[in-house]
Amino acid sequence: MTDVDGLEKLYDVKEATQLSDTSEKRNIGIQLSLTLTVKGKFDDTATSGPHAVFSGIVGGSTTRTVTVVLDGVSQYSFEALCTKYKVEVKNKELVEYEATLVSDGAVTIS
Amino acid sequence: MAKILSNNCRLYLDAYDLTIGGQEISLSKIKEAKDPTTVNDTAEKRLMGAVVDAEFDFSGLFDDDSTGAFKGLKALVGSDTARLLSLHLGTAIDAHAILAQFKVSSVKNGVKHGELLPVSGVFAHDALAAGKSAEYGRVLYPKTTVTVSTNGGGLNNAASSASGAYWAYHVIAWSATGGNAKWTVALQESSNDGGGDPYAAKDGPVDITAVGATLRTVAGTIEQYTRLALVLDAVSGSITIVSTLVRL
Repeated sequence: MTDVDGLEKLYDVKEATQLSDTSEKRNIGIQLSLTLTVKGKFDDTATSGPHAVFSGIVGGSTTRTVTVVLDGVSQYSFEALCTKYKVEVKNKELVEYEATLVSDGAVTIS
Repeated sequence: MAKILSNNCRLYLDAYDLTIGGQEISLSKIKEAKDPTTVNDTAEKRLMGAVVDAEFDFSGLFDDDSTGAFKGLKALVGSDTARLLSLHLGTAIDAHAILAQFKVSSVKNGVKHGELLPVSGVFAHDALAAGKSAEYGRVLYPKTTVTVSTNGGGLNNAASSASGAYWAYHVIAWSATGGNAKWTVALQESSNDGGGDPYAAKDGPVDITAVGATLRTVAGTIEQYTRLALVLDAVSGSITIVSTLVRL
């Protein structure tokens, strides 16, 4: 794996300003779903390699637990669906993959 | 843990070898997630949708080879017939492969001073079957030209499988003269690579009398080993063929 993009715990923000307000007001809404993109060099390691994993779960209706550990202590955790798995061949380069995971429910940072 | 260089990859669309001229290829399997979040939820929810899709992007260099990318896209563009696509991530039997089907909606060229002429295409996915899009399998037979009856090497699946398979082959070129003036192709199986259990036809033989691509749906249990079997049913001839197997 070479890139992880979209790691974010994000909440919706709602406009709450009323006529009588002299400054704009905001309310925090619900937590939004995150879209995580994972990229790397294509690897055909059986069972645990990225091709075996993502080709097996893409389009599946069962959520998978995703944990991204930042520094050995802090981590993001969420349940996710794999909505896309791409294999990319570029001239003179190693074959690459890109998988898209969307969160279902809360994203926690611990 | 094996990485793959792009120069080991091959791409076939119908009767054409898009590797000839190809420079950038991507093939994706996609299913959209739906939003079932309701007013009492504190975090957005997602449910997987019901419709699977695929995307294919291709660009490369103009090449006047009669079976290459430009000639292929030029021949197929605008046709409402879905074309079989095999992306091989290696040139050996058992290399990973992806099978899908697309219609060609555009072929594009350009001219830029001092540069090689480019070519690219736009493709519309059309499913192999209900609920299928880009399906993951293996190279059954790499692109080879033969002039006599030939059996390919055994493709080892580590075990038999019970849910059938998609067996696809692309005939890039062929000729047959005299006799019945044809080739035949069959998918054969064996439990031990022909050791004590001789290979026998699981599907076919199918007559080959033209270039093009064919998708065969094979039902039931398939033994651990499979191979492609080519028979020249003529006095003389030649065939260039490549095949993909996707166990379901």
